[in-house]
Amino acid sequence: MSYVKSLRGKESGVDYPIEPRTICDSDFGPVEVTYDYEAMKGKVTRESIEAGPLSLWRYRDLLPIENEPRAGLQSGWTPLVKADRLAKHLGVKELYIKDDSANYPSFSYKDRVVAVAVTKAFEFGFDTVGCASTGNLAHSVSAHAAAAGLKACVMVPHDLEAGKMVGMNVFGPRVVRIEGNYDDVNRLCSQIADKYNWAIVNVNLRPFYTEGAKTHGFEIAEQMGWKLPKHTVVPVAGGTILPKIWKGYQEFIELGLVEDNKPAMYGAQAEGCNPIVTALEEEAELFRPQKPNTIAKSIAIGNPADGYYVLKNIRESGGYGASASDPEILEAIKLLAEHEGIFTEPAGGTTMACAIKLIKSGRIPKDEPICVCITGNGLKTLEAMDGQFPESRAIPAKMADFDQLIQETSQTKEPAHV
Amino acid sequence: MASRKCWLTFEGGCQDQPVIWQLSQAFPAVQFDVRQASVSQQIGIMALQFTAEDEEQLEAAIAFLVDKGVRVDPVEGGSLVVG
Repeated sequence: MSYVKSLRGKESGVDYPIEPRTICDSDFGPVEVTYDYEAMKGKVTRESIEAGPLSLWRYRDLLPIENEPRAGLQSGWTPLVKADRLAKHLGVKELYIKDDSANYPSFSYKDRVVAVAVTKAFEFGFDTVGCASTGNLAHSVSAHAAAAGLKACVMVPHDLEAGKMVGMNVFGPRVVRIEGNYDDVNRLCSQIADKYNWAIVNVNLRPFYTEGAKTHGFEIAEQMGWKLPKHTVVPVAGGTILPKIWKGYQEFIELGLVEDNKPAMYGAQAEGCNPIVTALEEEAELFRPQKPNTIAKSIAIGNPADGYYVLKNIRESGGYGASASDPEILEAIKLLAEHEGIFTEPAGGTTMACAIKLIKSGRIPKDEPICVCITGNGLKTLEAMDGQFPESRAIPAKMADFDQLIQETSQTKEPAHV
Repeated sequence: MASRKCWLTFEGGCQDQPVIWQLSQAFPAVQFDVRQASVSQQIGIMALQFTAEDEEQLEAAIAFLVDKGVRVDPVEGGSLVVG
């Protein structure tokens, strides 16, 4: 049974039928899926959710699909790591890492949004799916399309990391490199969706696609034992995930599944692309678009489509934001890896670095539960870590040489890169 | 008829000029319908739908705006920057 009511203009309140739709015709603003929460009450319960599959589809009653899921059947339900070693290092009481670098099949949170968008593409009868992407989304669309038997055409900036290019090409989509940044790619894709009648998941399927991001928040709440973290730190790129985690938290509160502990949301951006954080720091009502320049390419979006809502949700939740320099991002990647065994991409390093800044500045209290959202895997962006580690020394295969090397390196406190 | 949905961004001084009035005077055959607007001391943002007899007229009107220092972007999915 579907509890979906309509697509509704977020600002205008105008209702539309469930159809591929990019914007509200009334004010050109975004449209969002609405649900019949009253009908859900008593039916969508902790027990009904817990009886579902160990994937994002355990929350299908809160997702905008009519029929059985057709894509991403193993996506979601990623680890929520209680990061005690890192918590001790940072001097905080309770720290969690929501680790979507372990998402299936493409190792980023995008598998959630694509699972919903591709299922919706089937329901609308599209035969080709595509996207504008900084890498992770193209990777995920390509993988899901291959598994679902749909054609794929993905559009990316021309200067993506080699690992991400291989990661999408292997699934056999048509890959188009665009000479420009993500904002240029996105602009072109809005025209492609109209002209070719393709399902561009983050353009004409955007209202459905974004709903998939809620499951990141649902899982945090369920995996914490049906509680909300007091503080949630989220990377901000186009601005999908933060408002949708917030919406997920609010839906769980509305349905009585969790207690309302007034969760605060925090946005993390790289210094080389931080329009939202700049607006927070300047107490500006609007953000000013920027030209990105950072190693955190997967969140380098200078004109975030949903940036207005990121600002709004951060402010209404009582949260804040921070931005991190490229060296701080790399240090945070190492810190997370060395303390928790989680290797994240620069976007995750940004989120971790910003969480540390927010804790050190006192914006996030040390004695309240904190969740840091890691959205992508470091194995896709190995170039970012080039030159970060000393080269390992080669020795003859003799015990005496090994003994000598251990003796020489035993003084260091750092992990032995020998 | 040709139609186009656009975001107009006014900054760097052009937000203090009567650019939209000038547009209406220079291109009386091009109609525009304001869907959103937000204007401050630093920046003005408007969402407009343009309608004209043909694409050429639209292109000329948009070129006029760009020449006046206005940034013109097509409306994309959810590109809302004003509340």
